[in-house]
Amino acid sequence: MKHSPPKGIIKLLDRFCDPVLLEGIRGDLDEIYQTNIDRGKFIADWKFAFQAVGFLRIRFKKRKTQNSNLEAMFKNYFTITWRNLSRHSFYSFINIFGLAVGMAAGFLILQYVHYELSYDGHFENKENIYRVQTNRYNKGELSTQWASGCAGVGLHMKQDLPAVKDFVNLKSSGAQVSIGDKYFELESPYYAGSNFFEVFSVPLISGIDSLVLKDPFTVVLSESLAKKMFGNEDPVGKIIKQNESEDFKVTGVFQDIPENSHMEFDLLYSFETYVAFTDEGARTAWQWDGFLNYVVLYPNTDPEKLSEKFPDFIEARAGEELANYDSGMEFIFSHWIKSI
Amino acid sequence: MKGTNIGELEELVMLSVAILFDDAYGVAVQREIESRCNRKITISTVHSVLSRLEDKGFMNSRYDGATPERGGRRKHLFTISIAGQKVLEEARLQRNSMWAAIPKMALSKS
Repeated sequence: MKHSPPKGIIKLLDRFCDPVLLEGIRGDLDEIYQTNIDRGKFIADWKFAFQAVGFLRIRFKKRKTQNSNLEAMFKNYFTITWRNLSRHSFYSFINIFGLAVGMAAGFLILQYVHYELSYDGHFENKENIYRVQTNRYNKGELSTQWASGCAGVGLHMKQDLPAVKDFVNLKSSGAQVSIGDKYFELESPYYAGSNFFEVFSVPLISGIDSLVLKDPFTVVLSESLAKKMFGNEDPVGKIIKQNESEDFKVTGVFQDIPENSHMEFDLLYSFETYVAFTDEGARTAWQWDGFLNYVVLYPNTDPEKLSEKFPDFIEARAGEELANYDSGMEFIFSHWIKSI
Repeated sequence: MKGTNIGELEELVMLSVAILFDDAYGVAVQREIESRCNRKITISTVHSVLSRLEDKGFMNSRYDGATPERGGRRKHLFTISIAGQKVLEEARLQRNSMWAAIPKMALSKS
């Protein structure tokens, strides 16, 4: 015999089959194998394997001569279980069906809770990042209560309060974007401070964290938006038009924000652009609302304790101005995770 | 036990074994059925039918006739037992009597 069938399969048969039948089985398989070998070893091997698998059934299985006590016991348990279930088939059905529905519901709830709890999990350092909410009082009554607050609070907190390590501000934009005569639909774009990618761990695919949003009229795109706009070309250095008037240079591409995130944007302009559109007040004003301010605290800072300093901070920065209008302000640190 | 009646494939296998007489083993039966009935069945099916028929007592078997292409292994040879012969005859008689009972008009049309 020049060729022999695959060894692994033979071993499997040897182990599985009743030794009395094995000689006939192996002999027949070999005989067929030898007639198939003319058509190539590959085909013969495959046919052999296919036919051999056919022998893996109870009829050819090795029989155990001794029945252990333990085995008999479990067999008996199963018999009794089965008999009881079929005797009370209706109640069995209700019980098992009920359990199944309950478990299914439980798993769904678990899945949902897990998803909700995973919100913003991809942001490193998230426990030290807080959003500053501004509440305004007019003649002693609460008049506005916004997640987005006044323009200068982040910058001034960093200057005045030593526990604040850094800040980043965002301003939403409703502008249109186009390339040539093609227009693109955007998902809540923002003007973002130049250190955005240093504060939030959104990975950049191209571009450098600290540089992409440094200059006015620069823009960073999400991976999928970049693909939509430029196909497989490298978007960096390309120009896109905002509101059919201003040209923006693409400086970087970031990985798509996961769906379980409280911010969902696919495009960020540099905040410097917004300052250029308006004036320096966009950085410092206290009577100009609509800016999202995120502050980064040094690790192990107690935000409650820090909040106790806010009244003095407000008094020092804007006390006189507020008193003129008989109005007041209040800042609230919100861990945005909890605001869902 | 349902032992007294045989299925269609069992009948085919038994008839093949009878035709092959003293050389009825797995591969030979498979070839016989393939050439006479133009029907491909896997070797494991043949073996399983043969061993089932032996369990029912319709077959006797022995090991004999080693050849080099079988790797020197003997063939598992089958012959029909007395009981098997009876079952085959019964099946045939049953069919014959049923054929005979068909009125001529029923089939002549086609």
